[in-house]
Amino acid sequence: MLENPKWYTPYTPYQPEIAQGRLESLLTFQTAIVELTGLPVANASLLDEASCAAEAVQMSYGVHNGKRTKYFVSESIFPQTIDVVRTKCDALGIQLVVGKLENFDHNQAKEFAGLMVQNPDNLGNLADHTELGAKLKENKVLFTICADILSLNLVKPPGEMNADIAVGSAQRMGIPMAYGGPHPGYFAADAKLQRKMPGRVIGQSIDRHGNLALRMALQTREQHIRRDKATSNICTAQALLANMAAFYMQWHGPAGLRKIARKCHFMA
Amino acid sequence: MEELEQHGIVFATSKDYHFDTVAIDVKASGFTSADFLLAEFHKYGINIRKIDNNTVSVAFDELVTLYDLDQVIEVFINLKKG
Repeated sequence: MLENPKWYTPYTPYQPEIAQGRLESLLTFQTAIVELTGLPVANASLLDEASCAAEAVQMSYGVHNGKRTKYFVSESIFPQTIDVVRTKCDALGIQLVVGKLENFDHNQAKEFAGLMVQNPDNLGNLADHTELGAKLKENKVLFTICADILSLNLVKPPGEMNADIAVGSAQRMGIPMAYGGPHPGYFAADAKLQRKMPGRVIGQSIDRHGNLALRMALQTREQHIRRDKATSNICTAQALLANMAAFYMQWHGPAGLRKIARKCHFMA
Repeated sequence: MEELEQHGIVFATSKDYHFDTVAIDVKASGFTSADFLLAEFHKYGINIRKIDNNTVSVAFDELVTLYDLDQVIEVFINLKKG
């Protein structure tokens, strides 16, 4: 696939008439991400884990219409993710607070648009954030979990931990390391956030003959005009890599992926 | 992890709650620095990650074999023996 010209564009197919195969594969990617994260909507990938995290920050900020100007990031997430989030916060005028999760003051939660953790974290530790998620929900703080997609075959998914958004890299779904990239990022969210979803979402429709057809769905027009008002300015996906990840996940199936995940855990 | 703990390696990752990555406390394990460990593992063609000056981590994917695992353990034990 990686070397096949019929597949190797990074762009999301705009012309459904000639791209049903690629669209179907992207829909498979979205479906697999939905199943693994336990959240109902996923997009057709973003550029990498860190930019997904930055988009999660922007989404959280947008949901509160810019009225909550603080965002909390647990210090035990990957440093490159914190760096990209910091850049995004600088651009949007969000006050970024990076600190220990236990130091987050729930009494001041209403000042925060969102909170982000990583599971497993920078040191490899897994945690159950269900209670934290429930507490954040009470104060409408959007909860984002950066999760290792393979680990979700074995551990409690973000959707069951009351997360509103789950992001991460799908590199380990069959994508070569390639000296650091590119790798597809995945982005899944709660249904109430689907109209603010960054990037591309592939959906089902019917063609003029009434047959099932796939096409891009739920694009906000602000992505193209009035761009400063857009909920996100991301207009593409890592389509080739997401498609490769989709085939990898499809080839192994849920049981095969669990087996792979168990092997990785066993080795550690 | 148990085997390495017996040889004085101290982990920064919970023994019970981890997935595919374990982090090691460099100084508590008796090594001089994270850079020293990185260089030693490089000699065997093994990439470990430097988290900070006092922490390194080893991550495993599905391509890691038992032979690779043995080699990682052996490098640590040999370094401990000096």
